[in-house]
Amino acid sequence: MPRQRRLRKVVAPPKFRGFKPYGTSNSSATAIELLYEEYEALKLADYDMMNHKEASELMNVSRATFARIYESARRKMAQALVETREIKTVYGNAEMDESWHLCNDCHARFTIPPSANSQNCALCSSTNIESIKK
Amino acid sequence: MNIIITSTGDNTDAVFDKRFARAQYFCVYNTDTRTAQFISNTSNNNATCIGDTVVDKIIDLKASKVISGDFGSKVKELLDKANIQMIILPNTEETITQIINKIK
Repeated sequence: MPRQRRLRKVVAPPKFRGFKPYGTSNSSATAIELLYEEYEALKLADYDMMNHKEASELMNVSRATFARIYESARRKMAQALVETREIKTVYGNAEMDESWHLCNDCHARFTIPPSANSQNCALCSSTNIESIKK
Repeated sequence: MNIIITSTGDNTDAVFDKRFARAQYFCVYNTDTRTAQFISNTSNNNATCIGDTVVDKIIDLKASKVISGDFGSKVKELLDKANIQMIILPNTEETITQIINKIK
C-alpha cells in the first residue's frame, strides 16, 4: 500500500471555479482538472515569485514534492492552452488555512465566526454541512 | 438581524453582484421586519483600499452576515475580526428575491 499523501497547505482557494476558452469549436473536449494545490504552487512560484524552498515550507511539503506539484500544474496549463480545453478547479489533497464550510444542500460556502450561535448553514439553516478542511 | 447582499441594482429584481467591495449596491435585508433596503456603494470606483471602506460601512450597518460572490484575503481578515459571517454563493445568476427566499 502506498504511503498516505501529506495534505498540502493552501492559503486561499482559487477565486474561480474554472476557465473556458472562447473562439474555438472544440467544445466537446472534457475539462482539465487543476487541483487546488497545483493552483497554489503556480501562484507561489510564478505570481508571488517565491523560490521552491520557501514555497514548499509554506505548503508544508518537501521541496521535491513542491517541484512535482508545480510541474504538474505547468503541464496541465500547457495542455489546456494547446488542446483548447476548459480548466476546472477541484479540491485535490489540499488543506485549507482558512475555516470555510460548505453546505451540501444549497452549495453555499460560509464561515462560522465565534459569535455565531448556530453551527448550521448560514443561508438555508441546513445541518448537512461539511468543513472544507479535509 | 441585518444581512448584506451585494447587488447590481437597487431593487429586489436585480441580479446578485458577485463582487464584494466593487458591487454597485448593497441590499440590507432585515430578517425581523423582512424588509430590504438598498444602499448605493459610493466607494466602488476608488482605486485602492475599497475593501477597508466597505467593511467599515458594513460594520456601521450592524450587519451580522454578508452574502457575496467572493472575499479577498484582506477583507476576510477584517470581517473575521468584526465577527461578521461571510457567505459565498455558487450560483451568481440569481436575483436578490431568490436569495432572500433561501434565507431561513
